Amino acid sequence: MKSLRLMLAGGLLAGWLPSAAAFNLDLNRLVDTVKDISTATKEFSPEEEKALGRQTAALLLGASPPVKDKAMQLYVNRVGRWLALHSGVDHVDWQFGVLDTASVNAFATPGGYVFVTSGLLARMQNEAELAGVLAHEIAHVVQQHHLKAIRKGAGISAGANILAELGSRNTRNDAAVQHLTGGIKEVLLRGLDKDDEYEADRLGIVIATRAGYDPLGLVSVLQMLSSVRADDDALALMFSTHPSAGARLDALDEVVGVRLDDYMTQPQQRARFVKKTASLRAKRE
Amino acid sequence: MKWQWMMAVLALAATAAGAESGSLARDSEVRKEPFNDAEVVASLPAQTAVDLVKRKGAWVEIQHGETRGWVRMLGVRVAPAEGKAPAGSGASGIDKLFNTARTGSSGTAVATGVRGLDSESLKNATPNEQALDSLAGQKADEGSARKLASEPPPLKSQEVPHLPTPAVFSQEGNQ
Repeated sequence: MKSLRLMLAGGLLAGWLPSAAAFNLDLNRLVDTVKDISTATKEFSPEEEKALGRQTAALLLGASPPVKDKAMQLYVNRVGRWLALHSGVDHVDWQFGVLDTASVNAFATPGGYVFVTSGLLARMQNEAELAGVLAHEIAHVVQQHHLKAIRKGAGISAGANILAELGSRNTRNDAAVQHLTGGIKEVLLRGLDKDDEYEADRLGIVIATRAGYDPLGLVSVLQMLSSVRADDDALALMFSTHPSAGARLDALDEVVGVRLDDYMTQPQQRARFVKKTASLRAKRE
Repeated sequence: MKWQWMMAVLALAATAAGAESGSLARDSEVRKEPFNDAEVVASLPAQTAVDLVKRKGAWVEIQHGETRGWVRMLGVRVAPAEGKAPAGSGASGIDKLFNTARTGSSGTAVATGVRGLDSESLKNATPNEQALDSLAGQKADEGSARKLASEPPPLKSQEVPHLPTPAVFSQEGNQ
């Protein structure tokens, strides 16, 4: 079963390589057209990071709209914001959200947009699990993993000029927007570096523990994911863009050891989680 | 429909109760009590199928034949043992039942269920900035977050050092 999942992931990854190469060409050409390589090699500014994140977030919402339950959205934002207060960064304008889709996944974008799907939320048992997943995504933002992937995909430290362009001409037909949106799609479809996923697991667990949650919330979600059939359509994208849940559990087992034992009885907050996410379960016949 | 939904509820309840079967992720010493220095009552090899009885902090009580004792939570896997098909409906089945129920409640989707957020839908997606703007209304400020954390049982902030970076990852690393 496990090898099947690996083979599946490998096949999908290979299938995406040609389009990743196409993205390289596009972004390089775009940098050529703005004719200012010197500034293109600088780091992303917070504003540029936010603009890029906003495009990515809008794209995800274009694929799956937000769940129409404001109380649930606010609840997830409060949990996320509480976690973010323990992330070690204070300059990020965080926005959390629940996407209305049966697919099981969670996403982060540059600039502090973090989404969890209703399909994943419905499979969770308590707030510590939600915290584990949100903290993993927060870790991606803190470590700027997506920016790293975009730079890597472009073959250079691209972005600065393109994003300035994006900010000045906020129209959907603008060539820069088109190209950049394509590039963002590639990162979403290809996934991040596997090492960055492992790093987000380690940092995410620390953030959730610092925020006072049971440290094993993320582990519990990974246990659930590892027991799901590899050919389940709802998990196809998540499985193809992440190391297997079993490999992630093994990696955590290796580094956590007894280090978090003092925090293992911290709350899971099951009662309010069940209440706040009830609309995902309460169905009319 | 009603019967299917009940099955899903029962399956979820079974998971919640923690009465699950699992396996050992590595060669494990089974201890009499949930402590590192507790007496070792048995040594079991990796992949041994065990029943997961209950959790206590960093430990989980397991049962294997006549052997009962405690191993580390991170040392067990809830996943079905290698080679075995997931039991009956499995999580996949639950998800499908869940989908069916959702379709009924939304009144808009057809019987095939809600469109998934997969690679295909992402490739074809166009940005929805309006949805993003509407979400901004549910942002939480720091005060709101602190208020949630203070509700009993309160979430208490802790000083926790970073976990070490392992020297080598599994062979499944970067492509």
